[in-house]
Amino acid sequence: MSSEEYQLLRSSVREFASKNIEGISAKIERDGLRPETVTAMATQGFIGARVPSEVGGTGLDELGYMIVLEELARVSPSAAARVLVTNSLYVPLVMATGKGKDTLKDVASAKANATVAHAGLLEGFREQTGVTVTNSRAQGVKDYVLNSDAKLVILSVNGAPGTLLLVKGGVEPVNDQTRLGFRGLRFSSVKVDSGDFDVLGENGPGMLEEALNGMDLEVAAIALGITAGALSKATDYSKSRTTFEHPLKDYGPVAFSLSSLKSEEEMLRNFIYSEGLSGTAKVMARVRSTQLARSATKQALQVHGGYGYFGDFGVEKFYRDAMALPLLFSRGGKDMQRLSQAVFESKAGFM
Amino acid sequence: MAEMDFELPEDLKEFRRKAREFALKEITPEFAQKYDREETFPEELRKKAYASGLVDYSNPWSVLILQEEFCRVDAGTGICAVSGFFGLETIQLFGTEEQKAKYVPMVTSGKAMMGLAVTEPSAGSDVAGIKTTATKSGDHYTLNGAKMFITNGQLADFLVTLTRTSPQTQKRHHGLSLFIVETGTEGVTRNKLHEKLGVRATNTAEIVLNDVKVPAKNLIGEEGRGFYYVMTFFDISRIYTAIQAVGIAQGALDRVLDYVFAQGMENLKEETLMIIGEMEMRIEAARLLTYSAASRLFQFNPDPKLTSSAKAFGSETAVWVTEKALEITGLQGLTGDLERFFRDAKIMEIWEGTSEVEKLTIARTMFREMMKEFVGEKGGAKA
Repeated sequence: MSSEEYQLLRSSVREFASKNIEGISAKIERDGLRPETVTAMATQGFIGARVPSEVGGTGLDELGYMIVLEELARVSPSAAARVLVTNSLYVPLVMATGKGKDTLKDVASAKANATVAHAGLLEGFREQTGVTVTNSRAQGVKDYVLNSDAKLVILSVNGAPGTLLLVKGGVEPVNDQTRLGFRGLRFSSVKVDSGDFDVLGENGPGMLEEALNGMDLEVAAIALGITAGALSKATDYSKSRTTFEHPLKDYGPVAFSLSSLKSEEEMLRNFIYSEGLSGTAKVMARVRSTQLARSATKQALQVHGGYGYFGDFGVEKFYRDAMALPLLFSRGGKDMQRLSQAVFESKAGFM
Repeated sequence: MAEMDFELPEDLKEFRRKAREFALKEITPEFAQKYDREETFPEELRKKAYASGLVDYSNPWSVLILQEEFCRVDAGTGICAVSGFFGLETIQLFGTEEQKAKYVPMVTSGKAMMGLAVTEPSAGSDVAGIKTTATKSGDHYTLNGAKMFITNGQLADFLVTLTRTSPQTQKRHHGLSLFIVETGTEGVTRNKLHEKLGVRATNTAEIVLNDVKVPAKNLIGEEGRGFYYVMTFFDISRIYTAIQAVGIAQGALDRVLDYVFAQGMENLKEETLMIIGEMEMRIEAARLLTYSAASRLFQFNPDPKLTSSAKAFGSETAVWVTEKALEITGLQGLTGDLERFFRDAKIMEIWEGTSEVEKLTIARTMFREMMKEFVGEKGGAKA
């Protein structure tokens, strides 16, 4: 895509998000993403962003896909996470193996919902249960699945290493979990009892790890969307809110902190959308952007005072999601080890 | 020379054990989660806390320790259990004997609840910017205006309410007055505010005052002095906020230690150890600062520098510790108590004076003290 095409894509996603999602973003937090919203996102080509066009997807390149994620996250990080789970976990796992490709078309059009049970790789995961295959039937429970009302679930079965399956039916969400962020998506365990599945590979954990590591720039794009959304609200608010007879923006501590965060946001945006970034640069982008999202959302909430603490103003969701983003999609110490490995050009940061 | 003693006396240590025991028994994780999810006030818990004899307003240290221990288990329901007295000191310090006799016992016994209505939709940190008016005619005042983010607002039997009794002049702090407004009075409308980030069990309301007639005898202290009464009150309430924050931070650290212990100490990494060390360091510093500010206050010699330092440092500590706690515990924290602690912590940097306001207060108090000394010296030289 040319830079004009990227620009056009950005403005059309922004327009869609402001027309169709921004107004209901608080409702999404309360009641979850509604099917009609997901369908509208699919019609725009966002749900099938990385599904190849020959099988009914949009076939966007990586930068185009990042633009979609960032612009959705600006108004609703949950909407962006819905696209991320589909396109950065499900799609690459299916594409890598060539199996289960028949499901791509329905997923791209939102006729079917797909998700990946990747929590086993995250910090703080304790496996209580699991799925096993006996007599060609997959049975059991997988914990901590985001977007868990999906019909299609990719999961790694018990064993070392466990086989990676794409389960195509006989899956139901059970035991909803409370959690900090991305409340627009269902988050629960899934109960599996199915004879309808494809084997995607023999090393499930390894493949899942590769998919998680492969989404550095996508996570960075969502983090920047969250940052941009929160800072834009804080900037607007501090122009209109008056305290001690002056607008908030006229106070140094308010103006300087927001401006400094904004400059970091813009520098990181220029960085992550550069062509041909190295693997090292991508990890750097993920680590720095997720950190920026946390400090920016915290300051944005603070600038709003009491109002920031309420759902109505739409800032507190950014604060929650900025904290939840790395916990759900990054691997804490493991990401830092990947970064250190690149910096030291050898194993570093662990014994 | 006498020695300085940083230890709590034995009876307070014993009281702390009892408070913790009560909190752990009554506020289970499921209980806390339910009230957080449903955004409802745990009236039963509040009643039990009063019935247990733990809530004793005659001993301010016990109130302090109680808040610390309750917030260590859960800030939302914990604050509800002990904050029915919010604003009471304005009456105790500045009220008439009649007001004290009528309103203080019903609150300290737990039979009634109260609240303080200062903040307005367009005036938060800027207290003197409030717009609610009180106009005197005969033996009563008529109040008009709106109050925002009022804790206990919908449940309170009466609200100590800040109003403007004479037009704003250059001296914005003048002309403000405090009234006791019984919430059953005609013209008082209360709307519960929903969807708070944290402390969701606590009741927060918007109060609309529409031609509310309040007897003149409900004026607290002198007309026109309300701003100063409220500032004096904040020097008290900020200490309670500081200790709530310390409780939250300590509760988060408790949970991190449990998590690490369950994971197996042999897997403990240096980066985690160092964070835990820093958590302990910051929490103990915040606690000592708060106790030090409280000690001054409870001896009727408050130091606004210390109070504001304790409040700002305590709340920043709570936010920092809960963030780091989530980093360490990952998915466990994200789906367990710690995500709630993280959400609860953030209000501490906002209510009872934002961290920004606290820092300005600290610096301005220092310069005021310098000026006094300077004027004092000049005076001395002249003589």
